[in-house]
Amino acid sequence: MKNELSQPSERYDPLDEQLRGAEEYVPDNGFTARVLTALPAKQNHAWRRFVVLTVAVLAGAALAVWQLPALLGIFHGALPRHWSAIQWPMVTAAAALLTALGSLVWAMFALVNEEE
Amino acid sequence: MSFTDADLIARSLLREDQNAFGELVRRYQSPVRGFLAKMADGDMHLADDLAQETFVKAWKKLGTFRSDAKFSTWLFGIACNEWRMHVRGRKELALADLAEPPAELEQPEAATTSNLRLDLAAAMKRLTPAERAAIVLCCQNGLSHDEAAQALGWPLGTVKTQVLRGREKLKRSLAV
Repeated sequence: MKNELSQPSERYDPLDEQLRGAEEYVPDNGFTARVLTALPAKQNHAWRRFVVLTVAVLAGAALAVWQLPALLGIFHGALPRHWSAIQWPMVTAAAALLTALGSLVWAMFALVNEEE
Repeated sequence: MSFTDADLIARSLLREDQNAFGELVRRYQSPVRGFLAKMADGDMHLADDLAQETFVKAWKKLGTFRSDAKFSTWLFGIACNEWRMHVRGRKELALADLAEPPAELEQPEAATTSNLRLDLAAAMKRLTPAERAAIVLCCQNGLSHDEAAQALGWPLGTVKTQVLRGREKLKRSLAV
């Protein structure tokens, strides 16, 4: 691939020809590898994101379970009578658990994709 | 599949992809090292040290690169700054700094030796650092005067003057 340094000459001048002819390609000889070694270490945002997300999900689930009885009381008053037979604490706890697990799986996928 | 510079820059930035940046280094190591070697009078070790620092700084500052400029121009700008800092760090070479050159600067020895046929490398060494930088960027690396002015941090007129003077000196030295 030609890089953007290649430009055509506007008019002929023997000096230009000499100057361009004297511009030799400098072989890499491990230079690129040395530069890559000297680059500052990659900041691993993926791990930080994973930890923050996990903590947030677990804290949210804990808060939901802790507040559940009070929230259920409000819901029970507003719901139709035949719905009251359903075990709402179980359903809500299962939903919170599924949400937490789903978020963790998503975080794992995001982490794997970041590192690839 | 080959990526454009813009693709590689985007990958380097968004995913901190060092392999993409490595491809950019491979593409531009030759012109950058060649430029710095000429500024360092052929000292390839010094040129390599400065070129390495140039690319490390480019990696750190990649987020500041604006796509309206060419990547090579931006890179040469960093290389010029590295050279300036090196020269400033060496007191004995302070007069050869790449800071904007004085309006009238003629080397007397150039006139006395104008009839000698010198090879290009020797003739280039006879140029002032400012003339050499302008000639290498514009005449050997294909930068326009505008781009060279941007890379060197000089006014456009200064670049044109340095290129003109450098070319005249080279023509006299080489009897072209």
